[in-house]
Amino acid sequence: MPPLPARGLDRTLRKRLRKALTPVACVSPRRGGDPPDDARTALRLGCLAGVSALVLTACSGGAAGGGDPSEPITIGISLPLTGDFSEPGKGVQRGYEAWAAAVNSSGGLLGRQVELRILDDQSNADRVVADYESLIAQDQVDLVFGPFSTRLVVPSARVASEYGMLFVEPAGAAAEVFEQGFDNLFYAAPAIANDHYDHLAEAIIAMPEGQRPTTAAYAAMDDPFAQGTAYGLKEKLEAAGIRTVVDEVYPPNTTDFSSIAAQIADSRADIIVGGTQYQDAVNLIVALQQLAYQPKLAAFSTAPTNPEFSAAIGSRTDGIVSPTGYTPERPTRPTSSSCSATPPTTAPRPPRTRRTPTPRARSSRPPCRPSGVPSRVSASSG
Amino acid sequence: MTGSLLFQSLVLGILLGGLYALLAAGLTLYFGVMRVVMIAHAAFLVLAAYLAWDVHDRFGIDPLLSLVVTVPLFFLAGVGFQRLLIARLRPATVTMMSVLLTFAVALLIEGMLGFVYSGTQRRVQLSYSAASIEVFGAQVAVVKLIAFGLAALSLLALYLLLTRSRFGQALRATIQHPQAARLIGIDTDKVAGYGFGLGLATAAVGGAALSLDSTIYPSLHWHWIGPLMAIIVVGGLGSIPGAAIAAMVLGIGQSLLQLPLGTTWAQTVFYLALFATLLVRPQGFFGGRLAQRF
Repeated sequence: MPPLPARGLDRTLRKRLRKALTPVACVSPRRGGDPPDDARTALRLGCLAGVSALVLTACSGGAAGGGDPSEPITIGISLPLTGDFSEPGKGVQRGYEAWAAAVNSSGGLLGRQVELRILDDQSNADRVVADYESLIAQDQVDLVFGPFSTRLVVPSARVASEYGMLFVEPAGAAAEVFEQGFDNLFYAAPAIANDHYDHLAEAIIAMPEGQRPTTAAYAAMDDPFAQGTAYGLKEKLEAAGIRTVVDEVYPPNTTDFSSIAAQIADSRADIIVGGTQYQDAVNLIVALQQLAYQPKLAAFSTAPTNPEFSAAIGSRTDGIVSPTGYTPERPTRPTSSSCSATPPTTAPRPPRTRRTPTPRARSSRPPCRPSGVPSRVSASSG
Repeated sequence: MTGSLLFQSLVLGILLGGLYALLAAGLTLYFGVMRVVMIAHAAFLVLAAYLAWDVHDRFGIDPLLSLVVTVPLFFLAGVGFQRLLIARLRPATVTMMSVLLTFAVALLIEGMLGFVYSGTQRRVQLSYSAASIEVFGAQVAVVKLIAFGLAALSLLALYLLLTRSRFGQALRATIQHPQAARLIGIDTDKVAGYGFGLGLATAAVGGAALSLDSTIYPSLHWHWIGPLMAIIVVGGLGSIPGAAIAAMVLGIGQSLLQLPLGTTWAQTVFYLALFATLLVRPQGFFGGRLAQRF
């Protein structure tokens, strides 16, 4: 591991940091007491940020530093608060803020308060580069944390690497992030995009012959993360003999999904898999509803993990699956005895009227997995 | 590919073509009346869609009711825009300079929308958003049907206004030959202003229709202006029936081509049609006396 300067932190401080960070508790948002949406997301993302910080401390080796203990540690972050990724982007912001509040209330990092400096990159890759350049060069932040989604993570990680800064990112999950040769980049979630649906794939393949879906339709945004999730699942299902009947790619700014929806509806695919971010999933689902198409299972990446999703889709979120994650150290899974014998996704459930965002709470429950086995799915990655 | 999918795509294409037709009619009207290339047309469309979304979001009113306000407002804005800005351009260079001027207006509207409403994508959530009715085996979404009906009604109203009213006659005379129109006593400046207002009013109607079933964001207008420009060239610049027919043909073409080509490549149908038109019949396929003047 080459030494990576984390500006403002000297070696002894870093050692203390390692200790100080351990208590950042990561609680699964999916169990117990159902906290409100925002809090849930905040918690979940807070966990991610917590994990980020852990990785960070574990990796910053001895390099020159310094810093006045009375001054706060500033962390520069650029997030897509508007534009294509604004919903998940705001979720990550809530996560970072929750993390900062948790750290500061327990004495801060190395006894220093943490201060976040968050810019809005408008989901724009040029803008994100300019943002990180100004954060590092002009604002002289002590640390930089990553933005949301591969499309923004790759260019910003390059900036951080040029400036020799450590780069911890919570949501750049496509394989290409790790193929760029960055030695400063650390991904704080458990899985790359293509593995997000591993448990779902296992569950579907493990189903008895008669119940298993036979056909699948895929629609993915022309985006490395979105395509990664959909194609990861596609590969596994195809290998298991589940026929691909529709395979469509659309440009990121597509607003009219009626034609793609028409092809999916016409194929009468048993399951639909959407490689989606946010708005595209909402639009595709509405377009499918307009065509009165009812799959046995619908899996969409990212979108259903946003609190805005259930408001946008209405009460019909049931049966929509989305990959999310949690920290493996925490025994959040029930023991295998409490797993349902048949995965919840096998049969269409009767529509329910609850308006709460049930999909990730219920439907994304991975079927019978022994407790303690790390999940390979991850939360709100992009 | 099954027959029912083809039919479904055809229906979707017709519904899409209707909206294109209304918007292209407005765009070709500006050109017909004033030789103005109105790049900001789609920006006004998105502005109207935002107003419809805002009205729904703030007061819970159906976005269609925003038309009561936006149509007269846009008409007046159009008259003002023409009288205060376009009319000041030198007649010899008005076509070229209008591109610059309206480009600036488009950027201004886009920036303002981004400033006020942020770049977040918006979508009107209606109780009937997902509702559809079945027509000969094809599912027709209610919102799309309303948008189409609105477009068709507005086009019909525009057509009747142009063919049956004295104002329409004066407008058409201005389109055909401004000098001759002035000679027989038509106040072409005033008529041109009203013509511009009418064009902008179509954007108001189109915006409300768009907001029913589409995600909107400030830079969305760039996705609309290209196809609309192509449509009015294919249809013959200045010809409203030409624009409507070309819009329908290309809308259906886009919808059907999405089946073999996918969403990304189907968009090229507009530009391929534009190239073909310029190569084979530069004055456009329908009507289009005016394009020859270039």
